[in-house]
Amino acid sequence: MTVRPLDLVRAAIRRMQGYVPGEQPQDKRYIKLNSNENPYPPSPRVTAALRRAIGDDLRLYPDPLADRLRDQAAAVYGLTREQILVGNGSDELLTMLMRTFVGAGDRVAYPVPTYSLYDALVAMQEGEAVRIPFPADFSLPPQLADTDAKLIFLCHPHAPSGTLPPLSTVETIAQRTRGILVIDEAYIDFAHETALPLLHKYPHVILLRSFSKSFSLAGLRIGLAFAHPSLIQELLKVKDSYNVNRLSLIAASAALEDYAWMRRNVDKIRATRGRLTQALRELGYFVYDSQANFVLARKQGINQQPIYRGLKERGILVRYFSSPELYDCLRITVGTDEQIDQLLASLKQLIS
Amino acid sequence: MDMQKYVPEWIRTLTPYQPGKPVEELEREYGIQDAIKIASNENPIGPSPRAVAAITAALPHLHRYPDGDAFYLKRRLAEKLGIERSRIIIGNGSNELIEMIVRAFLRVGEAVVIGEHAFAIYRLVTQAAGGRTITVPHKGFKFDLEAMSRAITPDTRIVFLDNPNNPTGTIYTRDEWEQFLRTVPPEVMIVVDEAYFEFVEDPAYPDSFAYHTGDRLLVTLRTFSKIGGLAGVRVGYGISSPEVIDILNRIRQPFNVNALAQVGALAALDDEEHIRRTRENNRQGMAYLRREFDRLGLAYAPSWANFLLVHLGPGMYERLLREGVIVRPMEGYGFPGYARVSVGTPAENERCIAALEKLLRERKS
Ligand SMILES: Cc1ncc(COP(=O)(O)O)c(C=O)c1O
Ligand SMILES: Cc1ncc(COP(=O)(O)O)c(C=O)c1O
Repeated sequence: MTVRPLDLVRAAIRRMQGYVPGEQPQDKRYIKLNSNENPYPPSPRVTAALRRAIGDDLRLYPDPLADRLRDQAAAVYGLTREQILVGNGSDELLTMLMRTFVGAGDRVAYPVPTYSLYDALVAMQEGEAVRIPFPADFSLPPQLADTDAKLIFLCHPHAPSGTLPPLSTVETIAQRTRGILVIDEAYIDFAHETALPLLHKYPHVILLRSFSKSFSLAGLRIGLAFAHPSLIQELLKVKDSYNVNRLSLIAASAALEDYAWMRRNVDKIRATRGRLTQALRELGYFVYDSQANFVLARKQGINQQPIYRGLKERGILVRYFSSPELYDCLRITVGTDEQIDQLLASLKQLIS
Repeated sequence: MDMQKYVPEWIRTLTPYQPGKPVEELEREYGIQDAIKIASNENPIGPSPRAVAAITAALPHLHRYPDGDAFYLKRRLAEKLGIERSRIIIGNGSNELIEMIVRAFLRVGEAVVIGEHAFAIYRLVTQAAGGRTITVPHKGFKFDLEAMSRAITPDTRIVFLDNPNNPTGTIYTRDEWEQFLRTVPPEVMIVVDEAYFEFVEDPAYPDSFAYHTGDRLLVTLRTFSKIGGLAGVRVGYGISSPEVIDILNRIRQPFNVNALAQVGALAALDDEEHIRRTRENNRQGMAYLRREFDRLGLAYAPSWANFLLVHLGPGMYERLLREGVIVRPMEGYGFPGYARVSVGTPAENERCIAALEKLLRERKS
């Protein structure tokens, strides 16, 4: 008898898509405006701290609880150590949230389109995804709180639109839901307002932060969860014992120490974002008001795939989604001014 | 908050893994200085120098996401092993791969078979996924493979074997393994965790890699944490059939292995000199510790790995700590009065023995 592994895996996983690696073209050097990375390097203090740490200590396991980083983040964000959990990217924190709170048949609600990992993680836990379509202006659908969901996910600012709902709307959802509200603030440093105050008012609100975007550390995979200590306590039980490596812990600490560096880069990116938005509008795009480090540009009813391809031929990668909700859009990461100038020049050629 | 409402019982009742405490923390707690830690089976001679150089060289690119497919590391591993890249998966430590296997193949309520004194993570991960562990008594310090095979129930999905076993250090032989393979039903996945594989120098040791014949569900796990000296950067790998690897990739987080771990592991893989020196240090350290334990009349389990499970008697862990020697107490593994001592550098080994000798003398008088 030969065994077919697929017959033995959980049905939920059998139904899932095979893994498709992201676009990593090797043929030439691209201007990468497709992954919402920061175009600027991390603080020189980060690099210096890493240089000091790269040596004999690499042989040693990291601190499993990351207490030094937790204490430091606690001081920066006005929290306590017990309210903070460190993850191998906020992706891992999302995974832990699902594993802790979602069992077979449990409902998880989120407005769509959104970060695609949510769908995959719900499927893995055999949960029921309650996907509520955004209206055309990407304002928060109020029925989100009426879904009887165990978990609600909210990107804040939203991906891929970059929009930020008024805090009062988010708070209404926190007040009305009987489940846990997870506010994914991967891009919050590029916005004018955080939902952090809600954490102090509602014990069932969880915030996620990432070092991948504003802190320029995508390669090191660091995320933070902020939540009520009793929730952190449960999450710790499903945490992989040594989930965050030594160098990432050191880099994140150094990055927090040079908060001003991050703020300067964020300011530059916001200025470029304004210019990019303006220029795209002049090219006839509808551009959502972005509070993130990317913009979503729409040409109503016109498939943007040819533009995406044309840009790629010209050495510029942006994000195109083929789904019916987004096929007429491009998502463009805000790069340096120079990169954005090149993008705009190419775009003008392609459009005319 | 009412956790019952949000969290399933099997998670609420879970006691998380208790890792060894960091040196700095113990020094603070006990008011000691210059402590040595020979407690976590780390590489005493340090990381591969080539890995250190490669990691340093990669620093300018940290603002970019890592390669989600770990292309170069997988390619080199595939070349070395003489297999297709599609048969390899890279994890954030081999720990993460253990986790992924359980999450993919185990349904709530189903069973995993483990040995009584196996690596503790198998049980914890199974519980966190809502599964059951069937725990089979050891025969002395060794897995009882026959009994483990008999313990398999119709709802058993996975058997975990760490060979050598942490914390006993023992191996099972090729004969035992081949007999085991003949008796385990083909639909049960066998995971052989070979974290200490590179230290074994016994012709009777079955390298599970040689048994990937395609007609059974077998996963081999290896790590860069031990021989590569890279426990701090978190990277391990799994080998199986393309079908199993494809399934594991479905639940893998898209960027699970950080950029520095990928380049570090790639460099360590080809650092033959570092591997040779690590093995040599281990061989000598192991011989020294055995000799000295014999001299001091301390009983220990035979070990094929980079650590020894030794009987010190009650209270010795704490007393060693006060002497600035950190080993791993073994109560949690069902070995009261035992400690697991990792092989250190010659100086660390000597300091451990000197401290033990002093404490034993005090105990007598
Ligand atoms: C909304 C959102 N959340 C989380 C993440 C993942 O962030 P990290 O790199 O911290 O895993 C992303 C990454 O693109 C994202 O867009
Ligand atoms: C048997 C065994 N498997 C796996 C591991 C974890 O290895 P890694 O550091 O690759 O996660 C260890 C670590 O001590 C171990 O002893």
